[in-house]
Amino acid sequence: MQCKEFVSVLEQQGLSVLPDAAQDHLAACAACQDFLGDLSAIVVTAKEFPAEIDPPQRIWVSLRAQLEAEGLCKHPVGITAEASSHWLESLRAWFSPRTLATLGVGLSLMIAAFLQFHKSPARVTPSARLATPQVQPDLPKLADQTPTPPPQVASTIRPTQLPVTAKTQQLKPLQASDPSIVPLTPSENIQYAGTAGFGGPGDEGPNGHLVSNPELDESMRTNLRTVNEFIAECEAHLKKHPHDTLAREYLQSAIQQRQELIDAILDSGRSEQ
Amino acid sequence: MMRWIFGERTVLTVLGVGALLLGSSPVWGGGPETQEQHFVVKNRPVVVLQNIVNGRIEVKSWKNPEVVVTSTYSPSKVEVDIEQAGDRIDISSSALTDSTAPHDAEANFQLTVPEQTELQLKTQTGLILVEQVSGDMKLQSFAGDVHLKEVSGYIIVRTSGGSLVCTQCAGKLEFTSISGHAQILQPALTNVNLMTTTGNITYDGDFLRTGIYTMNSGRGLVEVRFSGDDSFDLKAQTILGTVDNQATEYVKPDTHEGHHKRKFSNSLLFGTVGQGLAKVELSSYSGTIRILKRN
Repeated sequence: MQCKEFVSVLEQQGLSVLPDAAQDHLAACAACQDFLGDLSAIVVTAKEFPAEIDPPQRIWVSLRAQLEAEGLCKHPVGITAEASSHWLESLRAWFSPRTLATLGVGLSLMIAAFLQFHKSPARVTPSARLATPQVQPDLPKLADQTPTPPPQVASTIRPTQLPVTAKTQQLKPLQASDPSIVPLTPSENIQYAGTAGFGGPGDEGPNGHLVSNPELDESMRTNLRTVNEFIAECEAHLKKHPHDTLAREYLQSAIQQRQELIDAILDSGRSEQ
Repeated sequence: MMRWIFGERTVLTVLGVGALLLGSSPVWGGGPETQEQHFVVKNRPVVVLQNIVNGRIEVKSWKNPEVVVTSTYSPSKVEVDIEQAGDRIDISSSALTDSTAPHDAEANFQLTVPEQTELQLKTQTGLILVEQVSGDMKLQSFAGDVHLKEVSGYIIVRTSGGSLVCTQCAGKLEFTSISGHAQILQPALTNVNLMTTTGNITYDGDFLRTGIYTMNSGRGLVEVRFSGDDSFDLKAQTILGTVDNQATEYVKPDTHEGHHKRKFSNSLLFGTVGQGLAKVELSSYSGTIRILKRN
């Protein structure tokens, strides 16, 4: 039995029961042993994935917005033109045209005056409001300033560092024998279908509103494609040169970047496949 | 008298004035507004800005113990929250409505901060510009570029497609990106870690003694320009690319332990410039690594 035949047997019959010929070949072929080991690891890992959950509400909000934007779905019409006409006629019966005009003018002036003098400010907390009535010194004319030399390094570098999340932690040098390294399968090719946010939970409006941005969508799509291609390239290289630690470092780094990108896409709640 | 007051012409005039006032109101018109707010601080402030919508963030410094936040946005489309807690100032912006127009939900910020300020800034597509600020900072822009000038501290920059231009920066720098480029000019950095998958890396400046400099690009060009007075150990390694050493007269065989033999090849180069006090490690997957000496 050849390796190709062994793979086809696996595809047809699964991992559970192997024919004698396949078992004989497996016993003698290290490559197929590795292949079977990889498949088993994938199956075990897949079983640990959580069950599918309902998508969050923001997905439906985004979907509805997209459908409305494409004209496939319309808002329900609440009041018909006829009903509107009846409403106006009954109102007209209560007020004479002169009274209506007077009320309309007065109302317009009041609204206009209110809007003119009460521009909605950014929300400021009480503590911020306390700070607001400070005497404002003249802002520096930054563009006119002559550049000052950078501060001394010794005085500016402090031992304290910004909190670094797990995602931003540096990769440790990867050893060829690192058991945590599991070769990826070509099936890990995640498509991107548009996103709005970036980074983490809460990258949306307080009401679950999502911001469409073609530039951002295109960037995410392109970068995901790029990193997927790079991962595939590294994997192909590692198949030929499994002891190339530098290639393995690049692969691990690319996998981490892809994971962060996917996290950002999922967190933003647009869509993914 | 009453007939004159409510005459047709008078009513029309008053209505017209009202309509004009309404139309001129920026809120009603939905146009962008600029708000400026001042926050007094005592010590080194920490400014956290999370721009969930699109927009540009510009940070400059002054000598006053005060943070000035100038924001420009449409109040009908974007909400901005600013909160001060002691010396920490949290700013966030988010979209109020679903929007399909790219620039509908946009908030631009200009911050004026004390020279010693810590920053955590995040935006999606806009530029992040920081000038003359000293302090630890974490800057994230998904597709936007990050420009730093005369900045010092522990600087972490993360982008997906945005590029970094760092001019006269000091301290420590970490840059991670998928397709963004990194350009480091006239630095006074003691620790540099640059990683981009497909972007290019350019380092034009001195390597400080005891500094550690790591620059990796998967498919991009890694170009280093050093001065004749520099002192560093060099390791340049590429998997499928080329090491293009254009400063052969300055790169001596590495005399340090472990690399007694000078090695030159298309994929690996060990060498020493000067006494080898700093450590420079360059690598690429398939990109070119170019080593040059500045004139």
